[in-house]
Formats: sequence, C-alpha cells, structure tokens
Amino acid sequence: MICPGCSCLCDDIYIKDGKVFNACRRGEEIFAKYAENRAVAKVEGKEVDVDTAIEKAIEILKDAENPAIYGLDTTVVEAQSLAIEISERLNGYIDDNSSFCLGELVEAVLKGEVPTTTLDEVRDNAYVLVYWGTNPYHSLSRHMSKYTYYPRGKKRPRGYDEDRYLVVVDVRKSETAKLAKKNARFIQVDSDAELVESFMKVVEGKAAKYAKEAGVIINEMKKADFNVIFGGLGLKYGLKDLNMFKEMVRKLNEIAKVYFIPAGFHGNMRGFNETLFEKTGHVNKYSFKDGKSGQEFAFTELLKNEKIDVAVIVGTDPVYSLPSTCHPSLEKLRR
Amino acid sequence: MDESLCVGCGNCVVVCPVHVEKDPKGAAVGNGPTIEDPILRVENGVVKVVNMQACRRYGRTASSVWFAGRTVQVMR
Repeated sequence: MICPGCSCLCDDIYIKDGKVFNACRRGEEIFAKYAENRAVAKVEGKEVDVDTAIEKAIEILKDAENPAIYGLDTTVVEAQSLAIEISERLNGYIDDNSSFCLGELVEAVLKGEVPTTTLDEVRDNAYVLVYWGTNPYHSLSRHMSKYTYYPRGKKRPRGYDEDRYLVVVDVRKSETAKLAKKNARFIQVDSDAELVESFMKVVEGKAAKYAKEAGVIINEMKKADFNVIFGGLGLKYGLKDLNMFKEMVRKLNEIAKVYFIPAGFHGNMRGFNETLFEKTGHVNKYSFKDGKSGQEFAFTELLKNEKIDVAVIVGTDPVYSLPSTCHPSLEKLRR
Repeated sequence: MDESLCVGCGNCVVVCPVHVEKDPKGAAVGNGPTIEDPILRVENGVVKVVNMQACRRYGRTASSVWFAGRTVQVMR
C-alpha cells in the first residue's frame, strides 16, 4: 500500500496479523487509527447521510457570490482536477496550503527556472545531498533512508559513508544535522541570504562570509555529475527574496550539475500545483473571476479581508494551520 | 533499543550491512526488508529487533564472535 502521510509516499507498506510494517510513526497512525475520529456528514449541526449533505452543498454553492475552494493537498489528482473545474464554473477562488508553504519554489521548478529531478533518480545517482531549512527526521521521516542518503543506488553502490556527501543547512543543530559526520557538513547559519551569497561569490572566485564551507561543498559537487538541494520551509521563510536562491542554483550549474527539489510535506501538494499550473499557468491562489493569481487571492487574505461568502475546505484544518487572524472570518462563514 | 525515541525512519534498517548483503532489492535500496529473517524491521511505526542472532557485531557474542571474516568460539 502507499502511505499518504507525507510527500515521501512510501509504497512498501503492508499490514499483517494486525501489525503495520515499514511505515514510520506518523504513517502507522494513519493505518492503525483509520476508523477513529472519522468525520460525519452534517447539515446545520445535524447528522445526515452523505448524499443529503452533498445536495445541500450544491445548493449553497449555487447561491454563492464569492466562493473559495481551499485545501486539496491530501487528496488525489482526480479530486483536485474536479475542484479546479468546479471553481472555474463558479467563477470563484481556489487555493491550497502551498500559498504559505513552498508554492513559489514549486512554481520555479514547473517554469523550468531551476533544474529538477525525481527521488528515484536521486537514489540511483546523487552524490552531494543538501538539506536546506528542512529537518526530515520530523517532516519526512523516511526521506533519507528510502530515497537519498542511506540507500544503495545504481551509480552509488557503496553506502552513505563513501558514495554520498551530506550537507545540512539550518539555524539550529537539528536531528538531521546530527547525522552529518563523516563525508558530511553541517552549516549553522545566522542568515540564509549570506550563505546563498557566499555560494555565488565562491563560484566567482571572491571572498565571502561562508567561503570556506561553500568552497568545500562546491569542490565535492564538482566530483559528481549529479547533486541535489532539498529546500524546506526554513529556506522559504529564511530568504526575503527567493530569486537570489534561484540565481545561486543557476550559478552552481555553471560549474557542476545541481538539481533542486522542494521538500514539501503534504502528500499531494505537488499534484495540486501541477494540475492548476497546467490549466492556468499558476500554482496557487488563483481567482477565476479575475483570471489571475495574486497574493490577495491567497485563502488567508480572502479570509482576513472578508472577500468570500462560502468556503469549500477539502482535507485540511484551517483552524489548526492558519493564523488566528483568520479565525473570526471562518467563524462568520460557519454561520 | 529505546522505542520511545524512534520515529520509524528506517535509517538503521537500510544501512545494516547484513540486510544489504541478503536483501539487495529490499532494504539495500531503501525499502522495508523483503527477506523472512531481517535483523531489524519497523513494526507499528517503531523499529524492532527480530533476529539479533544474524547480527555480525552483537549476534554471536553469547558463544562466539565474528572475527577476520569467520565465526570464532569464545573460551569462557
């Protein structure tokens, strides 16, 4: 079975004699507690069957003036496509978690602004693995064992301490950073921008704050024809301007082959981003009414500015994940 | 093994040299073990030692040790 717990999408999970095998702690909970706390269909607080609830939802949506569809990152591509189609027919807004997550970096990948690759290719070929602003120990628990640092690959048959080079960039010594020992580097940064700048200056042969670290890593990158940077939320929120990061990846590619993969958490955020991108040329926060994407159409902004009268929320809990400034608007919508 | 600290990442399952040798298409390439008698496997989200006897370092210490590529009996 495939685990939908995070974007690793581990495909080797099986259940035997009541035990879940191979899933990490989070994945195991999804299978073992499948039947607990299931949502039930309700209309105005009263439990109803699903068909009645859907009929009522259609009725509400037909009367809506400014409907928004939000979430969708934990659903399948077919459901995402349908949601986009519904939003288009309703002339409404559509957004997912990526508007405050890694959407901007996924968009850069889809537009071909930075070279990218797949996790299977990483396992078979990658030498330098950079985890930048992400701690997969918590967010993507099997990432390093299934796809990157630890598995043997076709061109990397000798194991992690000889055939891989691990780099961890973070503001603190995370669990992942503690794994950076032999053939590895941990760079504890005060500012991600300074490290990005250092990489670019070292490529140009100039002095910089992190020149020593950047120089060592660039030399390692030159040894292989396949290196990869995984960027997480620490990278996204650590940099005010992601263009300088894209520029850094381009500059590194002048001297070594370096790919970039956004290390997002949600199981199918990438699916939503790609599906909407194919249709509109944008990955999130899209208004079919205005025919464009913009920060003002992010679900958080729509709520804060009270621009919507109906919200369809799919597979996410905005009370849990969005800032409290959005909660009053959600409460109004509920009424 | 302190299971309370384990998140079930499977790093130990994949790096285990015995698994790499015996399970080249399973644990060696990052998947869960596909062999019947792995030393470690992740069960219910945490790692379990299920076949310590096969471990080259700790498995035979009760009566013998792995030395210079062969099993040597320990004199007690």
